[in-house]
Amino acid sequence: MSNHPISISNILLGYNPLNPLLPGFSVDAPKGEIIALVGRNGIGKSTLIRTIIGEQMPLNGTVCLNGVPLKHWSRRQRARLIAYVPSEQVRIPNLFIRDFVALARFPHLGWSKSLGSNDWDLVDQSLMLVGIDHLANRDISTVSDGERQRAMIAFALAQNSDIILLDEPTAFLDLPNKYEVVRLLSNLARNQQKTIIYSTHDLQGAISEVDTLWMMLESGFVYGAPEDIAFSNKFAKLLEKSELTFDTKTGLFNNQREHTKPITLEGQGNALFWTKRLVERLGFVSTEQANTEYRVCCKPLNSAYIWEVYQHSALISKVNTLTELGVLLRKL
Amino acid sequence: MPKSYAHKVFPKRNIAIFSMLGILLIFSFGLNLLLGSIHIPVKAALQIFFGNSGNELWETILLDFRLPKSITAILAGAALAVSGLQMQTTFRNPLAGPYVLGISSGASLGVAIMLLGISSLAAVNLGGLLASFSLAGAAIIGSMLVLLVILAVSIRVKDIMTILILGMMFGSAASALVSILQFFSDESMLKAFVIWTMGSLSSVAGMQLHVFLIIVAIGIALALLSIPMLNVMQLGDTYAKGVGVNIGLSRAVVFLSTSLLAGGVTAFCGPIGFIGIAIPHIGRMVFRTANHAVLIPGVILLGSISLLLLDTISQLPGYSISLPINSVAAIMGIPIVIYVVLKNKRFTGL
Repeated sequence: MSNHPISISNILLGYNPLNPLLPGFSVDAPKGEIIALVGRNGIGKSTLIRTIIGEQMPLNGTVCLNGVPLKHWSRRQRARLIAYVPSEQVRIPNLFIRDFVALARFPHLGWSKSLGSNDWDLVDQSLMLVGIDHLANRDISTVSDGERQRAMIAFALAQNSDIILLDEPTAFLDLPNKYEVVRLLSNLARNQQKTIIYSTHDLQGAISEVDTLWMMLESGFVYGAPEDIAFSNKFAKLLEKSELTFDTKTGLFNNQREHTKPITLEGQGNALFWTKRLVERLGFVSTEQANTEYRVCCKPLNSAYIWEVYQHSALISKVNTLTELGVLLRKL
Repeated sequence: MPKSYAHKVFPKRNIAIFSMLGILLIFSFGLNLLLGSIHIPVKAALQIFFGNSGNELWETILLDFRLPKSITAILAGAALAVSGLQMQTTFRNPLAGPYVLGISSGASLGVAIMLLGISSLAAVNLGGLLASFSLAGAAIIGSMLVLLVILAVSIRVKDIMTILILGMMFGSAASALVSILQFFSDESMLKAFVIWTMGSLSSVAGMQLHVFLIIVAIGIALALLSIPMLNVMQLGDTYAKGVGVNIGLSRAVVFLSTSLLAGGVTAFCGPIGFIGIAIPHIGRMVFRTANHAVLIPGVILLGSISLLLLDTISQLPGYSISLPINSVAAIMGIPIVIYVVLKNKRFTGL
């Protein structure tokens, strides 16, 4: 038996023993790791999280925390060991962020439930770690979604647990915030030696930051370093029955397209790269052979670029932006 | 460096508000004692309290009628406000109030069975003190029965919205039974029942006041014990469970407290509306906090002051008649609720 913060053995998730959500699996979550839990909608990500926090019983198998089965932990002990950040947003009027985070100290307090100065120090430290100490006296119902998500993470930190589970913490966030929150979580895992598991649909963001991916697939549970999963082409299984493909060369997820019309591209560097992206989006296959019907040539001109479009080596148009090039190519 | 955090719970602003409310409570208590169909001058009233005055009529009015009524108003106002606050927090619903669990409907059913059922069947006319005591007893039994059902449900049903809907359904069922009883009862009993539903603060005296005081004290003590749980429960079940709150037990304590408070008021004063819904909102607006350590004492003061003032108005000072307290509470309370709702449109979550 392992003594990892979380160790899951032979667990079977679902509601009907004859029809579990996915085949049974075992996995450990080591100390100081950030883990992204991914999978299609309805595969049981929330069920797994709810099972780990003891909210739901598995059909079979056990979850151990620090090597001790979940059922041997009392409610209070469990709250000191695991902090859970739900996906529901806290929007209670008149609740100040500092007071909200202070409520996380509940499992550590005596019967009077009053906070000592150590508790308040930990609250302020948590606000500082997530970078919202300047918002301590703001009403939580009036801050932005990104700030609220950070406050919810600060809540989990103030709970001072070894394990933090988060249910889709990036769901409501804009692109920069998505990255910043995942970066924040991965820093916390490293610097505070916490075990952090978060469920997400943002694979692209996850693969560049997390230590381990837990992938829930109908065919089974797959885990490993994101690079390993990418390298062994296991993303394909996650993307089955979808239009998406994973490009093992670029590490990007792409929409599968029927590339039919060949086109020749000439140019260099960034200009060529984005021109290629544009023509591929429009359904062309870019080649470097010169014998195709159409040919696009991007040339630097002064400090800008110019794109020349040729049909059978006759110049048909010159444009100054990729937007105009797109309009032109769509008509071809 | 040791830092003081006491200011967080009771910042200067809150201390000022509490002091003002304290003064307002004393003022409205005095006003309630002095004004009525017969006006008693301040000087005479002080003489009656600290020694003896020559005017025996005033002494009787003040000590035997107005003092118990004023104390009843303070207790009932505090009880309704605290139970309403607890229900709004527990159900995370701004429209919840003391009666949302169907407790007053249970009490009404008890009173209706007492007044309309038993007395018409047995063809006996219960008179005087016996009647008023047995009314309170019937109301308490009625609300306790509803409480038992709610507690049994809340142990088995985890979802708070389901409990809310079931509570409302029990209330509606009880009201339907009351209607049937009303339909078959004779006129004098019907009138007695209708008068009970209008609410009255003046029928609680002597022994009853002691019982009422004890019930309200226990209810408020339970609410004070629940402060940390209420603060966490307002975040929702997931958060509450996440920090290790025993939701079932905490809810049971809150429901018990609410039943004692709302059931007690309904039993002794009849179903008094609006205070329980309006005061918690006013409390949140005045104190600008979601911390129940501030809100509970705050709404106790606000509830007591409001019911004292409403009762003073309902007595129509200078006239020999008075209006039913329930109607006055509604007429005065509705504009306040509308104002609060229009002013803070943000009710998501609470």
